[in-house]
Amino acid sequence: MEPKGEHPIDICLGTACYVRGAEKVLDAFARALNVQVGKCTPDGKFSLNTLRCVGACGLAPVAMIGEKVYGRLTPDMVPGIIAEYK
Amino acid sequence: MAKYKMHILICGGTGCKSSNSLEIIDNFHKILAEKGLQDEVQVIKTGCFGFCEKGPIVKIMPDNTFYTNVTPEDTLRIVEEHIVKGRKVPELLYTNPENKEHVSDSRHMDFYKKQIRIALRNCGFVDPENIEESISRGGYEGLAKCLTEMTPQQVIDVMKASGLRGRGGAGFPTGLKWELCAKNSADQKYVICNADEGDPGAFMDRSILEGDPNSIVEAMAICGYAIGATKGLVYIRAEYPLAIDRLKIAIDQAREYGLLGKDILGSGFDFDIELRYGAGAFVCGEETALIHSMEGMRGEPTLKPPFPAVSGYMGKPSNVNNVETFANVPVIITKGAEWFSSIGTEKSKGTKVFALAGQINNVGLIEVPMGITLREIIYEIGGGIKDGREFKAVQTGGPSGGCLTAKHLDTPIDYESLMAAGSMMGSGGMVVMDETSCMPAIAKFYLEFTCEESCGKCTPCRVGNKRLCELLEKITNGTGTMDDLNALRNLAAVIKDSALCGLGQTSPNPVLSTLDNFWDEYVEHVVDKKCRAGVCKKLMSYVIDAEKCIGCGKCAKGCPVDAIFRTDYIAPGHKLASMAIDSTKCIKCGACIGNCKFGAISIK
Repeated sequence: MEPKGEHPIDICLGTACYVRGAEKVLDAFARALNVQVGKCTPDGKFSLNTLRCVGACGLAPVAMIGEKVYGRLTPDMVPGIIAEYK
Repeated sequence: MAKYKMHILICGGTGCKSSNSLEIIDNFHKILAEKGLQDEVQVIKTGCFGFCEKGPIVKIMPDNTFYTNVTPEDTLRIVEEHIVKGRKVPELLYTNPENKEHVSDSRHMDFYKKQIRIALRNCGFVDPENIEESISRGGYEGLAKCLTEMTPQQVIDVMKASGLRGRGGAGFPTGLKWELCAKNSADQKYVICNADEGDPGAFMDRSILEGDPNSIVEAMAICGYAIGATKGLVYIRAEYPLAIDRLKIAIDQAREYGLLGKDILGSGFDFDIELRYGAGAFVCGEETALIHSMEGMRGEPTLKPPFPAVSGYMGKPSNVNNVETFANVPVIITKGAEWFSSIGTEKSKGTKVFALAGQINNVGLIEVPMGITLREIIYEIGGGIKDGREFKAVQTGGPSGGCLTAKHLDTPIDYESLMAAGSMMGSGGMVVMDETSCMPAIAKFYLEFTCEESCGKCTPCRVGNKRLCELLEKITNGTGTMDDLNALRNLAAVIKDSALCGLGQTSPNPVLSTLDNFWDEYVEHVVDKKCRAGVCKKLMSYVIDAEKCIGCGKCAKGCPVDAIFRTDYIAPGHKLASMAIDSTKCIKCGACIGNCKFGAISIK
């Protein structure tokens, strides 16, 4: 079993997000945190997972960190978002 | 409602909530209180307006002004300018992308012009947590009419004459379904509402439940009266907390007002509704699996017959309809079957709600008459493809549906035409794709979903889909052969013929329809080892054009795996040696392309 991070990050891989480039956003999170999908960072701060459809397809691609939804993401927004939690 | 002069309607749907619409509501309350306007202006949290692309949306009534992309900071300006001084805030109005003019009335926007809102009639107009608002817009009139003026058989006759068909996907005539259940006598019958919306990318049922739960409560009671059931059950996924809350409020209020419970409206008819929560399994949208899940058993389908109309929940005759189907019922009763059947095509009557998403300018929830063409939906309502790119395909029906292409753009949409084109109506997900989408990868994406969601009961679905997925993995990673393409087609056909339930029978559709419509792209993947969309990572390589590279080294700094190195070659006119990518180290993340200001890096 893999523990969840203090700030669990979930990237939506529903169809709407997928066609709007959610995989690139997922890669960017994995790269910025240096963590694999499904795993947690060694300091226990972030865990990275995927899910299917948050229902906010209008904001695709979206990610959730805890309860907060981030929409219209591009890979270059990722470092800034992570910085909010550091 | 009369005591207020003005109303501020703010979308409280999931999309707008994610962009701080709750903060906007709080701000309005605060500002109005500060200005002493709280008794004159009412702030209402509504359900989805549909135009999610431009959310959060704020609408001011009675002048019907539609503000888009509102931020919590904009609230003060809206109150000071619009509410106090009566002047609209032009910057927050919708701008027509063609002539750049501001449009304040939503009825004049291209997005809404072609829509006919029947199932969504109250979404965005009423406070879903206040039954009186629903009643003021004709809510429960249909139920009252049934109970006081009509016999159950007359209700069924109206439903049959209306031509309404199941909106969950398969399109079974609703009136006929009711009649089949009504014919079976039993000491107890059940009305079941299928609110287990499992298709990723579809959110119409949730929007109806969040925006207008009373119409579902009313419709279930009407159905109960028609088929002779006194109990209603809503199977709703636990992931829809807001929809659950609002449905509970609607049920409680309906009981208080005597619209549910014993002796409704003094007619002697008893009906009550309970909720049952699902854990969000895709297969539980299939009616027999749904019933088993409600009974506390595993969510697995069983062979039909017996149909639920004969032996359903707890072995009693049950009628299962989807949320959107129910949402149509009350208006059909009040306005009549003739009115409803005048909308739509010969075999598909009325309207359909679609969740329009993907690479399209206006993402949102739309309700259009049956028989509209894909071109009208995509280019007029949807505002065309994002960033002016080329339309490639539209996926309808979610994981059970298929892809339609440019040649289907002018086909009128109804149950039959979509089926003939190799797709299906499904629950109404409509995902638009442009040339940046790779079709074999899309097929794999759907198959991965079906593999996860297969209940595992029958072999074709449990094993077959897994094999399909493996074949697609081979094709997208560059190890596929032409034999694999044939195997893919054969296996897909076998699964379609032999799977136990709707999930397995339709799961090969994304594969078959992409094979039919994008055969060349599959061949390119296996023969030329190329992915024209640049999606399949194993099939592409990043290269730096030595003539364009000025040797700044920014790409190398941003490379997470140190795959970029400096060469000895200095291009004519440049001072520094150009950079190059070691393809054995490259993970194809694309970071270098974003960092290069000189357009020297490309995907081959």
